[in-house]
Amino acid sequence: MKVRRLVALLTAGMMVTALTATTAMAESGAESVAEAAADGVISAGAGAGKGYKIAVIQQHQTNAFQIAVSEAAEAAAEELGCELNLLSADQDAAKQISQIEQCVVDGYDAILFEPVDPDGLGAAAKAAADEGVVVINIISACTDWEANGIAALSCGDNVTAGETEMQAVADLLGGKGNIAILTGPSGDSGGLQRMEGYENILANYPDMVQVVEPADCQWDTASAQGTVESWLSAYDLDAIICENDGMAVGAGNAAGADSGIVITGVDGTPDGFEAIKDGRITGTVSQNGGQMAANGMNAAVILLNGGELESNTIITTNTWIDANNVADFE
Amino acid sequence: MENKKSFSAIFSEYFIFVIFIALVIVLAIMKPSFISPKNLANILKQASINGILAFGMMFVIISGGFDMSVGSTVAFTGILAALLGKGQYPLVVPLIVALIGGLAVGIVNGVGIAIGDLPPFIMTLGTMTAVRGLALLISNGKPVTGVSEGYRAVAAGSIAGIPSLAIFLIVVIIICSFVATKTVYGRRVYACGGNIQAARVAGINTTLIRISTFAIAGLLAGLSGFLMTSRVTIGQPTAAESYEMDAITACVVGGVSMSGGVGKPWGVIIGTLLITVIANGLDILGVSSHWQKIVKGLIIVLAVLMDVKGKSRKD
Repeated sequence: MKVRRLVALLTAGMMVTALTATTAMAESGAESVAEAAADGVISAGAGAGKGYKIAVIQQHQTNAFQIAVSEAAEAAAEELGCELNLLSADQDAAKQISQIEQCVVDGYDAILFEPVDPDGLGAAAKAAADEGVVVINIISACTDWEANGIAALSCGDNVTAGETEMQAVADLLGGKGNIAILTGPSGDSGGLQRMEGYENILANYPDMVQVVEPADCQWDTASAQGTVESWLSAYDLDAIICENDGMAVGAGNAAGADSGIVITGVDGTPDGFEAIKDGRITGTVSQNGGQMAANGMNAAVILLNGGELESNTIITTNTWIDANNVADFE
Repeated sequence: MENKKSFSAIFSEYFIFVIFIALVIVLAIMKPSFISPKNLANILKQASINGILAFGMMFVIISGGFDMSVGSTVAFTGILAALLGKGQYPLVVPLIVALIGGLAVGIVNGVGIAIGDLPPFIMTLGTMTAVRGLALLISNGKPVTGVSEGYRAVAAGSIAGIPSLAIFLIVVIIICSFVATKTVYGRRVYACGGNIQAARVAGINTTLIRISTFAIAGLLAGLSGFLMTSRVTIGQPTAAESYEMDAITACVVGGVSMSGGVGKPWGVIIGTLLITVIANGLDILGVSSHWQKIVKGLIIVLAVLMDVKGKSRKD
């Protein structure tokens, strides 16, 4: 947590208006934490994982982001030559604990998981680590993960993603305008961190005014669409900033194609790309969930082979995607 | 029965109507744009899918049942429609398949409950979970993109200023109200929910009636799934989460008794509009969505309280 805050502060401090510069800064911020991952990618080498059994326990497998994680883990397992078991905790912390326990009993060499709950999974992770299993957090971390025996953390940086998104909006609006924010479920840590990123940027732009309270649309397209339709009949909005692509698509549907309203999301999912191409939304920040999983797998194999990571926090860089470069990401 | 209603029963029946009118007046004063034509069209659009589901739910609850599975069915049939609605078939194909998909889920519910004698809550909790799984399975967990322009236009269009979604709702309201209040079938549904033993003795095939109410709910969930995909332009396996709760809320708030046998179509219309107006009004006022939950919760409790009070005095 502290490390992430530091990254956020560093990058926020270095923010300049040009978007390209912003992205570069975000990358350099990440480098200062994880030299080994200068380009956000680490590799143990092809075939280095032969004979190892690795389990990846996802929070759930019900959206495009998580499916990208599944697919990347499978691809990494293929490349590394290790045996992979992909599990879904279905958003249930108790289920995830049992899955970790079961993987220890079944003799897995490494367990990668995205904690359903940052506080609830620490003890299970520690118990697994005490049995000699290499335990790695992907996408998000357990509270005090290092103290709980978790060997490494491969994640993106939601604060930076939020900053990248809001900076892009600020640039497009020339730092001035009426804005509104759609959030994920209140209390979701990823959403809160993205909001922190938004606030970091908004602090530099006093003329960007939130004319309505942020609306909790539960990551849901239909809910976002209803809220934005209502807003547009009462407010003159210049930009709608959404904490995920699903909600941005809903906002885009409400506003219509080429509405002149800047609408942005985070994640880089297929529905978001489709909406960027037909002009309903302006852009999105790709979180590269697949890369987080692949980095985690490679880190596990490096550790299993007795190697060392240059840093046990591996940050995946994020990318701004708009109509100009969307074709490269599909 | 009709003309012997006590004062409190009448009060409880119209209470929600009074609340609704009061809310509309307050919102119109606080934010004049609330009653702008554009926003009234928004309200109709936003009420449509929940309204269609609520009318299906109305039949189920009046017959003494309960359906938890409609939200999952909307997602499932929405995915089916999205997969078939990429322009490769005429639009009628995704529509029919969505309707059949919804109908099938409804019939499974009805058979399990009326023939298998399972409690409605348990049976539909089971299908709610399984059908959500089915939606995730056939979509591979990802949103289905590439819905054709023609299909998108179904929900996006409007006729004489009335959003086309609302026209679907109005047609559903007319048909359902007619069936519920003017047909023999409708009276049998009320009879089943009022006293199932008496209905059976009177020679009503209660098994068939109960299955048919779940089939109606499923069919309308299928229609909602088709419309949902058109509205949001993607098929989402996680869509319509807890829509069953909104449909149940619309019914209960509108005076449909959870113990069965009681309820009027116009109450369901008001219930649906009330929920939509709360969400729309608070959005327009720029109020945090946390407040929406609190207000919605209070209104549910108040409405049911009125329902219970009205009934206990009647007995």
